[in-house]
Amino acid sequence: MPVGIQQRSYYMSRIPQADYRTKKPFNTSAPYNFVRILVEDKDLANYQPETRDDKGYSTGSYFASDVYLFRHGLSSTKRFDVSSDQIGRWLLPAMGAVATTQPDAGGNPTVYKHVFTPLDPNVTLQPPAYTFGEKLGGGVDHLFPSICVKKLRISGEDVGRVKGEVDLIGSGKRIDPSGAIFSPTASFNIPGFASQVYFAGSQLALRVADETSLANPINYCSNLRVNTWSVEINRTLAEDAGYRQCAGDFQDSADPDSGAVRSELLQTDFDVVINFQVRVESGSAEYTALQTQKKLDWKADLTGKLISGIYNHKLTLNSLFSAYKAVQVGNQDDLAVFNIEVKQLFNSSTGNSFKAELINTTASYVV
Amino acid sequence: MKIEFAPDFPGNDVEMLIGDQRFEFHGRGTPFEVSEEVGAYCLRLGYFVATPTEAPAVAVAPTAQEVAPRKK
Repeated sequence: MPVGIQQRSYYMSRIPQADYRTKKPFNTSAPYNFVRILVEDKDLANYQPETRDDKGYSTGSYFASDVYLFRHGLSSTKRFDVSSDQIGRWLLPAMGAVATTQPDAGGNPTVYKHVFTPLDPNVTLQPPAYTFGEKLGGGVDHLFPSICVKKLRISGEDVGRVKGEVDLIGSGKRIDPSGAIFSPTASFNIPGFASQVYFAGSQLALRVADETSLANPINYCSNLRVNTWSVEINRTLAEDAGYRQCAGDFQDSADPDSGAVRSELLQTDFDVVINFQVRVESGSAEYTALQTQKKLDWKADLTGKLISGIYNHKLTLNSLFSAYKAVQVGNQDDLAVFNIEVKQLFNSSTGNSFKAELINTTASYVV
Repeated sequence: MKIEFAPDFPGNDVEMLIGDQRFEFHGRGTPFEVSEEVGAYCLRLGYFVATPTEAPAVAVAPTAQEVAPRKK
């Protein structure tokens, strides 16, 4: 019987693996180790076994006479609507570090604040890794351990829900069948979808100001000037170097001829690229900021539903030290617009670069 | 190096993950002993200040094994 793509289900570990090589185990009681994730796209993971052969060796033929499994790779892209709980589960692997606190444990005990910052290469080069799974009816039932995020893009295209997109890189390990049992089946280990609070473009506040002092703020929402915006967090990973001699990490751990899988996936570079389009106003200061390479603080706030007291679900994307890389005049809906690209910088005096702050009711993205 | 919660930090707990290394800090007024690299990261967060060197400190090493999840 054919399998419809609408039967697809995806899930990922609720928190990172203990280390890159150890997959997250399933469990059957709360808190569950896995959460089900809602994604828009219909593509399954791209699993890539690589082979080598003896073509050109002294086989006495133009053809290869032998072929063997060399190594395995895996990549995937997922698109989703940005929600207050789940975006933290993508921000952590994309950024690399998180610090969680309770801003008012006594008065508002359900409110948690998570600050995501770039992975500090002085501490470690290994970004957090997750275990990811996908199931498509009876045809596909795969578990992919050791997934790292290569790119996370968060964007607002209109007044609807903010969009997210992640590029994932796995170790190449593929476990089939996965062992996943979806709720409401008895003894399930993948609970149903958790309720989510989504962020929308209509909840945006976007401003640019002088770095550190925050003087001369331009609030792009006060005159409703914002058309689109995006923040793209890009990581370069040592993908080929992740296959390590001596490691003994095989696709089938009991079969040394089953091909190698990655033993690590280290970060070698990191960048944040911000783009936004705003309507041109008389006296606009954007060209001056570009020509003088003025150091700026760029911030997008998405303020969602009230949690309690003075605390709402809130996502803040903040480039603390940046400059304009490009400012181009364009046309959108017959109105003049600036298409602005922001270059992320590092302030060596303060150590500031880019951070994301998330306020929600999720107690932890770590335990 | 030794760090402790900043006077204006509102809570008593910070849970932290840097890549594959996890740290937990509990208790106001308690100095924590961390590596120079982790200390520098913590100070940049704004939640901590450096502790004067004469105070005894509680060593905070990366958590090697997973611990039971904290109840909400």
